Amino acid sequence: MLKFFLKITWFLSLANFFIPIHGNGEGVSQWNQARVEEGYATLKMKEKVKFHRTLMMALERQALTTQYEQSKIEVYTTYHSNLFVDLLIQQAHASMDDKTVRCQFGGWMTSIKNSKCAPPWKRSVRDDSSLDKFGGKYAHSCGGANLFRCNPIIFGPGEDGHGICTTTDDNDPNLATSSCLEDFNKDPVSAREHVKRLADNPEMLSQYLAITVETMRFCEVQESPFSYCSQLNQYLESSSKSAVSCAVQEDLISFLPVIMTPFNEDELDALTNGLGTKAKEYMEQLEERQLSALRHNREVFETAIKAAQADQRLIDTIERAKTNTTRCLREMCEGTGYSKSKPSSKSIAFCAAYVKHALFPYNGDKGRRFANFSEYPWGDDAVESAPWLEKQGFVNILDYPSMSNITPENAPDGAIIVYEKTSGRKNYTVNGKKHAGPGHIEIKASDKEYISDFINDEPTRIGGLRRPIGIYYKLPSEYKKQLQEIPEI
Amino acid sequence: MKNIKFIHSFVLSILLLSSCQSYGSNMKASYIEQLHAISKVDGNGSNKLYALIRESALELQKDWSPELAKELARVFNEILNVNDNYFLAELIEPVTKGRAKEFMPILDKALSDKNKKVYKEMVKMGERENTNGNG
Repeated sequence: MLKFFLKITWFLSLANFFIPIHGNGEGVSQWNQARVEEGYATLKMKEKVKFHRTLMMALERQALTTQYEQSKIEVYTTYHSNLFVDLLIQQAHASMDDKTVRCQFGGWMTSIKNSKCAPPWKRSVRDDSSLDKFGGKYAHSCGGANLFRCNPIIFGPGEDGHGICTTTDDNDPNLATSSCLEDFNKDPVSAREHVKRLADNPEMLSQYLAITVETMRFCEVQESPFSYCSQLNQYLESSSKSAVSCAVQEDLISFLPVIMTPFNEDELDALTNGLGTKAKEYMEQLEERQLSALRHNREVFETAIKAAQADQRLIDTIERAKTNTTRCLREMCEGTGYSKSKPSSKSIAFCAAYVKHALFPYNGDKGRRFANFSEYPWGDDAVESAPWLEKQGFVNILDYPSMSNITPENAPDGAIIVYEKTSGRKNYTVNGKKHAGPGHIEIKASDKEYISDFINDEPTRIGGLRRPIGIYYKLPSEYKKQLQEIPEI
Repeated sequence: MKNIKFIHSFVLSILLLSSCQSYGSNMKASYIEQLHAISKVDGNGSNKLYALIRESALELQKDWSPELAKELARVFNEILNVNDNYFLAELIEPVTKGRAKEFMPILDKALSDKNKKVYKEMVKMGERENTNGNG
């Protein structure tokens, strides 16, 4: 992108410099790259600097005075197109080095590395999530040398439903695409059937459209377009338009936001007869609904947390936790120099045991309890607390998007905060996720009291060595019914 | 044109390399300055201070500097005067393990006799937690 920008500014700057010499565009047709370069070469360094500075200022001014919403570069290109259209035509569009360009390879869109197309069967391409919007990846080999599986989204399902197998060099994007196109064209009936198939499947049609516009871009950036480009583009464009006209528009609109990018918006709009604009409106409405649901859920959580804070069991648990920080529970002080009591500010590396003792107290301990000592979750370290907390009905509010901005610092009092280590030799798998441990756990009693086996006056992040992975509250059961589903974008 | 492109790339590379190098030394100077400003630790210390200690230790592990090492060891001793919780030993682990030969004599010199014992206990407790867990 930077290279592209430099090229643009380079040529545009030359343009601006030579305008005064030849008037407003007179004799422009005589200009070519060699002449511009020759003129630029005669400038002294100071002049070149001044020249670029003036150019950038003009660029800024133009961007401010036009109605265009495109980037400044495009605005400037438009402004000067009458003067330098021939010169710029090869420089202004993207190139094979542009990271936003994808390669057409037998119907599949693949990545480009060092100006070369990566084959779709390569692991790096199959693992590339940025290609997901173009549909399924190359997953079914044709089982022989020089056999290539054409993308079923573009060339239909073939005999086995996974795509046509064509005989070609599977390392050559040009040959592979040409061969797929040739095989597909042998049967005009299957082409018509494929359009119907696309019209009936809005998700596949959206992927088809994504591939269509991307293929057009890809063909456009070739210095000498591949032989198949004209025929393939024509086929893709006409089948896109036919399929879109037969498809249920509302269904298709919901899939278009997934494939829309700033680079293909106009092309998609043209192919779908304005559905791109409607998809943008749909997206905006969806975002509004999402925000509204998030706000609603946040309010539900805030009410539920207030109710949880008033629960006598939590109040008593916090009191027990505070008292315990001055006591030596079981034999946990062994080897620390303390026997029966200890300072409340001193940790003895048993945070999880102390928090569990507050929640699952001995029978003789005062106050209401969440559970009895008989249910004590033996052995689990702090980072492994999620399963037993969830078993006791605690909810990790960080699992909910509406509460994901809650931190130990701003969490309402009463939170049970679980941390993982940011680096550690010991790894744990908790609820299917890997964490370094043993981690830390503490109960937030107030902004200045984070209680475990000691009382810390701030969250025990230890300068970033611990990272919060859970903020738990025991929420009343009714709250879940009030939560709204968050529409996915 | 090719020559211009080459010069352009060359100049960019030089600028990039020199900026990376100066970024590294700037960071080191900034750590030294920040540590130098700490004569006494307030309260029990803070996450902000611990982050500074940790980043300085990581910097030392990557690129040794006796001056930064001395400042780090001095401030760590100040921390131990007010907070002897075992997990704080982890903050300087990158340099106690990664640069043990250079750093340990400096740390030994900076720690008071009392804090030498405290530090040993902290390390021992941390190892016990790693081996036996904390639940």
